[in-house]
Amino acid sequence: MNELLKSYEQHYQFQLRLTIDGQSVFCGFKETAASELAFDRDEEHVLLECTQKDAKRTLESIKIALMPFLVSVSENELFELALYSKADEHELGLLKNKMAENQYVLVMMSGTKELDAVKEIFSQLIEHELPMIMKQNNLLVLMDIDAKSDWIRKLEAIRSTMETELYVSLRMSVSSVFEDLNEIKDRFEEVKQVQQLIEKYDPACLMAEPSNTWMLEMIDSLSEKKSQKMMDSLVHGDLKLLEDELILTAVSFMENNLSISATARALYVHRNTLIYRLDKIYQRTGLDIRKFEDALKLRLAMTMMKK
Amino acid sequence: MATIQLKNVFKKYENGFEAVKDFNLEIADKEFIIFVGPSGCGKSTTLRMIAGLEDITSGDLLIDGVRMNDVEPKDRDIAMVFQNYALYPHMTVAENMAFALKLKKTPKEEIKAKVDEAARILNLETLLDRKPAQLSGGQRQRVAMGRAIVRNPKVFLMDEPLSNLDAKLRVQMRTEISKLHQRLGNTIIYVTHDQTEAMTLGTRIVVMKDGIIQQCDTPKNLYNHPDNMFVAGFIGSPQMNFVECEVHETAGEVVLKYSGNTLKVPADRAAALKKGGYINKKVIMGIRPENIHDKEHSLKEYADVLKVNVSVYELVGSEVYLYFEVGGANMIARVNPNTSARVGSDVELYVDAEAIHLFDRDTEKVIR
Repeated sequence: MNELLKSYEQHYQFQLRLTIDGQSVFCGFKETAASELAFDRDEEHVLLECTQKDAKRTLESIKIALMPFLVSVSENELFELALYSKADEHELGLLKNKMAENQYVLVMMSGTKELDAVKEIFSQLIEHELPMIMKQNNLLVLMDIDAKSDWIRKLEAIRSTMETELYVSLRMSVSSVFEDLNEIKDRFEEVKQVQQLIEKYDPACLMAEPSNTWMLEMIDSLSEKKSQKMMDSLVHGDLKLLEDELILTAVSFMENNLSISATARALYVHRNTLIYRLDKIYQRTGLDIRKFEDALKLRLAMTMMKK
Repeated sequence: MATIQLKNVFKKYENGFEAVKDFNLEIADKEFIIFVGPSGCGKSTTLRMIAGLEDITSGDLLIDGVRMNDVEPKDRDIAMVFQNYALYPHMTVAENMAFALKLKKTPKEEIKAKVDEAARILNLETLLDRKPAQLSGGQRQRVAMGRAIVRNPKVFLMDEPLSNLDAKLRVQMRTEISKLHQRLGNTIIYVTHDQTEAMTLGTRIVVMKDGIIQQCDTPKNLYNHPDNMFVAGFIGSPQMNFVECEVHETAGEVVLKYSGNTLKVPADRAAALKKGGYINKKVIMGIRPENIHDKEHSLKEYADVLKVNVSVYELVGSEVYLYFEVGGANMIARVNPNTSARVGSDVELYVDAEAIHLFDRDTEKVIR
């Protein structure tokens, strides 16, 4: 290492961040008259010198020069920098090099105080190391995925395993898939919102992703007045008067793509019973959910009820 | 010893949704009890409340007589096997089973003894050094079970543990779980949406719908004496046929009239209809597909004949399902595979009146 750095023999000064085994061992603006460059593994510190004028260019060169040697640059620290848009292109490149795939999601885990144990089990359950950091009461993971694989199911299996291994109730919220690591900050905001929405509107849901919160997001943004106005225009009658049985029937009918046969099978009721219930929903709400448009209206209205 | 009692248990989420309503159940020591019902019926929520993964809104949970509502999940002496599970990819089968014990700082010798014992029970002894990638689906499932067994709990909680397996493997694993219960002798609570799984595994079955227990009984009693139309339709495959009928009394005999047909009601059910004031009113008649016989091949003669036109013919090997319509209701008969009936043919079917079930049209409860 000293041999490598001896090429920088002028008097330089610059800001350098260096981490070893995840610990920041050097960080700050360094100024010294000494001309020597030293890297002491035992002491875990680095001294580099340059003129202020050349600092930026020199820093870039040194970063590249150091790359092969700094095997333990913490991906977690790079991840944290990226989360706050503080990582430059080079640091994002370093982070990218540590990932196996080129598509990513942010995974946020919450709901338990035992996040250290969750982190330990999660690390063991995945194929390779992933950047993960604790943020308040959440564990945040940058996970690379093969978008063609059933990665959501794999995540659900991991979530479920952590529950059975640790005896904790765990909620997992996931961002949408992204390819550009510059998006990490935006995806972080997205996953935080997914988590907030699901906690607010659907607390029984333990695995949340944007595809099941987009409607919640839209409705959450409406004022009370607008919500009421929309509700009145969607449904004739009071949804609160629909029995649980009819609500579950409607939900199942929508989940089964408005198919009478599939819904009857899923609910284990005779198709005539199902038709009878759909008729009852029509009588109470004015919505015939066998029609797509009416089904969409009821879905919106039911989601708005949660508000 | 592990008896479990649930007394007036409710689960209500903050947004007002009531997932479980007034759940009352006593589970005996060493019992293999099944919670069954369609998606959203509250069966998994109930299991998660027993596990401690969900808070109980009101009511009491007792294990061996001790109130468990506020006891930490890890201190309830339970182990869980869920539908979705992941194995530690870099660890061997033995290490996979041992990992949770290692985290608990269990002594090495004890871990080894427990892993060896679980491997023996699950027939995994020869696979202990393999990594998950080298295992078949069924073997992986057994390792997941092994992780629960090494904990040696009083109670096993299983939530759809076989759902992710293919049909053939599911049948095989069903038998293995049954044997496992005989060998271990622990109390098992098993959640499934599959009525066949429920019927074949459980000593007792709790049928749930909309967060409410519909009926709790032995598989045989649920099949033969369902309390309501939901249980009648849920248990049995193909499911029970339902036809709307009118009840009449002529010359002291109670008969059901439906779509131009008349069926004489057996004495016990006739008495129940009279007692309940159903004469000249509409009721729902339920009859299982195996109680409608092909006249051509029937070994016995019945008084009531149904003339129908076959809309669908399904040969499933040892039997044939005939689909037809009666008064707007779709019905199925399970008949002899040698039947000459085909799609479009007019056939005569016997209805075994002794096997009918009668339900109130509004409450959907059985008329007894």
